[in-house]
Amino acid sequence: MLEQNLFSIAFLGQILLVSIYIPLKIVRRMTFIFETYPPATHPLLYPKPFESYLDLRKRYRMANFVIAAMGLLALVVSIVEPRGREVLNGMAFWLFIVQILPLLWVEGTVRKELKLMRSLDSRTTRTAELDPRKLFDVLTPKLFWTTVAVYLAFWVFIAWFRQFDYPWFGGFLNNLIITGLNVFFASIILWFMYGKKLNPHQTNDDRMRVTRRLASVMCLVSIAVTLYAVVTIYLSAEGARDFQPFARSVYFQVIVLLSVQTYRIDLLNFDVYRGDAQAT
Amino acid sequence: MLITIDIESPEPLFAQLIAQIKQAVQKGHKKPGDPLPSIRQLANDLNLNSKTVAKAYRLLERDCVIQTRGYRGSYVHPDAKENSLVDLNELVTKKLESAISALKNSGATDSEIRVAFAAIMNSGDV
Repeated sequence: MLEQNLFSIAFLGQILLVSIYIPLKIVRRMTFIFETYPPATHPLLYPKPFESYLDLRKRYRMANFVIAAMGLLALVVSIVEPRGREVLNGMAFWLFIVQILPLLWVEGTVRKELKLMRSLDSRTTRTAELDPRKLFDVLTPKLFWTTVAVYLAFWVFIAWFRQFDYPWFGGFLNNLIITGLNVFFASIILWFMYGKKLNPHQTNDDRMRVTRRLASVMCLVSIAVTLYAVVTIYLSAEGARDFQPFARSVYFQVIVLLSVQTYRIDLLNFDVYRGDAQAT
Repeated sequence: MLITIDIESPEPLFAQLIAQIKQAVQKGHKKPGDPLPSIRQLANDLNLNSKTVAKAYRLLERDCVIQTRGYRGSYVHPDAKENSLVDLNELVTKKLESAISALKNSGATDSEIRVAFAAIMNSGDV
């Protein structure tokens, strides 16, 4: 009963956080940009007609509203109808997948916008920093070494846990999965550090600011994933598998909270999108 | 320290890069021992082919303006400031000018000089 109540609370939190609070924050951010840097003064920021951006904001808001309503409905049904609880346990994962779809859609749209921006960029001059970028320029040594320590501790934990010989335990397969994820996170950081500049107007300072934020998010997500793996194994060993849906829902919320951490938008240089900036 | 290249300029891109790095050294923006960005980083930042940047680095290394320390990357050469003042292109032009005028004085025609020059360059003996 306790695990069910905990899960219901976590599930409600998941809906409120991922489909209401964060979308609201993102919509506010969009509105701030649209109002502070309108197409009249910052035409390079909008390679497509302005209406399409307003439409994007509207659709994003609507999609999240529908998903939140669906989630809340499922939660109410599970409370009224006891048999629905089991269905709800399995739903947390699928709801999460549906919840992040609008965010992925916005991200995909931004990528397309940047591509369009690059194709419309008519400047013939290109600038670059003559200083090499290093890992510790984008990441604090403290966070980096903490991430490494958590990763190594996971190896030790798995090696220690193998002695109990649980039939469900995957052994070093867990390390393989965590290592794969960490390689993926590291390659994203490296790609942001050394890869092609996606936004042709972005200043080097802004690029570093964005990369710094991304690198810390990747490290924090890596730590969260590893800790979640430890919690899952521990719950299984303790015979408390019923608590797993609750742990999973909390984990999703932590991941989303970490992933949508954003930099202060007012620190970014928006002058590069002014109409006269193209001439330079 | 920023460098700028113009993709529409008649000056080759690698030559622009060489000139800007030499300028950075001469103005003291880059001091002996200072690290330089990797070929990949610079190529991606300037949206150039990495072979273009590699060619610029190779020529700078030949002129002892930079030095490559294996996997650790490229650094400004200890004598970079003096070496960046040496213009090999100017030297080549000067030497060729005197050689060509001497040949012309001896009665050689333009096409004879061109054919001989191409043959020597293609033979690979020099």
